[in-house]
Amino acid sequence: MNALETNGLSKEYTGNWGKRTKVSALNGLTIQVEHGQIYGFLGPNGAGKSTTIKLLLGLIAPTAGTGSLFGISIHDKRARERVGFLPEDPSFCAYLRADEFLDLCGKVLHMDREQRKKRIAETLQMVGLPDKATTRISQFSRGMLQRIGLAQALMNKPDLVVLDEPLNGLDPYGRKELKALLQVQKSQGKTVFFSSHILSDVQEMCDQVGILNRGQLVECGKLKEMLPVRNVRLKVSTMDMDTVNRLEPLVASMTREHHHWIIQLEGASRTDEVCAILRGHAQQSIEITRTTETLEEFFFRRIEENNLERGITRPEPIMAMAEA
Amino acid sequence: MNDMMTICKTTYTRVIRTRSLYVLLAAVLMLVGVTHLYADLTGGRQAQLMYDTGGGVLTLVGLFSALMVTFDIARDLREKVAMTLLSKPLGRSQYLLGKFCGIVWIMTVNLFILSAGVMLVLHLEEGTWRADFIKLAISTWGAMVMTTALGVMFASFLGELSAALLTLFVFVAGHATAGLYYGTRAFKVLGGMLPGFCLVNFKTELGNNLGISWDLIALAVAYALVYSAVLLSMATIFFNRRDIA
Repeated sequence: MNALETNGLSKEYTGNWGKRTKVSALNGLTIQVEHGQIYGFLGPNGAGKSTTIKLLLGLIAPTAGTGSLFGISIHDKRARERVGFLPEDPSFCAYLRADEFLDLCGKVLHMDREQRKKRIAETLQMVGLPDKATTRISQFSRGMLQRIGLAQALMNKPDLVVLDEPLNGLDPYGRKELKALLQVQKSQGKTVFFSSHILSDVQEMCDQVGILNRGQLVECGKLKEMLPVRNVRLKVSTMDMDTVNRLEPLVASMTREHHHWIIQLEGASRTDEVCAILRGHAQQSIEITRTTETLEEFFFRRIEENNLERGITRPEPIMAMAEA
Repeated sequence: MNDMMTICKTTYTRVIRTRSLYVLLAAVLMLVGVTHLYADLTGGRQAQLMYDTGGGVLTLVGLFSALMVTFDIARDLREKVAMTLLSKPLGRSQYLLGKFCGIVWIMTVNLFILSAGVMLVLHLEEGTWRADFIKLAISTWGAMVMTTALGVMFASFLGELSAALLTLFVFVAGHATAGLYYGTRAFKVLGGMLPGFCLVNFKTELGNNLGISWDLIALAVAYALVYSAVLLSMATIFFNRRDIA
């Protein structure tokens, strides 16, 4: 059983009184998120990331398709018992103190008084606000709101943490702390599902990634398998002239550095063939380093390809302004 | 039930921490208190004027509290409080009923304070306790419970301003339903569907000592509660279908 699963999930937002279809926000989304994974949900603005999250949490109703959390339908409120959620740009109950707000969340999560008291102190410590328990939320900065939002999401020690743009509004220290916190969640066997625009952070943290473009899933899978290998670097200690001649048409470059040979390959397709030739020459260890495309490069490439496939031209206002 | 009480208490806390509420309460208490200053203008009927003003401010404060619910729900949606709470195992109907109860709670407290204030002023003026003002306060409470339920129903599918304006409109229209009962069949149906605020309004009768029995007051309040229950059921249906986006 997956922590999270959707099957053909779709959402169309309709105009006033349902008279006309305005926009298809999500179109047939099918994903599976395994337990204990950090899943990054990516896409340009308006791709349908927040819509997906709201659908998963039963905040909006799907037009078609199904979804489940821990095997329980998203329409059933019990599905949300093991979930913690941080909305995008929250402002929360400004009139409450931080501890009062967390207490409210704890009550809705059916935690008893003692549990709540203990957990409020723990979560505030976790998000770096231990001294702000009695501060009114109205006095919080954007970063602090994000932290208190995270604290309420973690109140019930959820098995699935769903975060909508959690890195928004956080300073570099906050981002670092949040990444560490999510890693701790993962190490405890929890599942983290989050959307973000900060691709370098996603690449650093995530096991699985889904890329959404205009309501359609473009890519989905394990990050390690998804990113194509840009080049391969092989390091060996010896090579004779015959081997050099045989490798020449297959590789991008061969250079001698100190007491080693460095062989560069474009792409990964010929790695096995080159390794076989090298091993045929002499039984020696081969140090292989693969350089993959960055998530950012991959993201832009796949979005552009998808736009081309669907005949969508993406306006580039900054470029147009520069040309003007 | 516990979830509903949690939301109810939070709503109560929110309103209690609203400064404008205290300003309004102080202003209306002052308004009642100073009525004896223009006693000369009333031809010796200053007690009657105080009574009428008292009844008026009860409605004013009750209406202010009732309309608060439309803004409160909208603000929860805007500030993503509703989204945060409803992403937890909290039912939408519990959330909505909690909001309703919270506002009714604060309204009850407000009406109690005001009624006590008005009765005290009347006692100082007349030297006797006007027990019939309690009847007026209770019937006003019933009317305001119904207004709050109206506000909740409109706020369950509309924005804050439209919900508040519609609530106000129906509140005013509901006071004119008595005339509809004598019209054609269509008017009678309309009159029956609109909240009958005229059925729970005894200001004129009580103000002129026409003697309204406790049974009638109880019947009026029962009508208000039943009508509110219908409105809240409708609100729950609408809110369950609403996208919390």
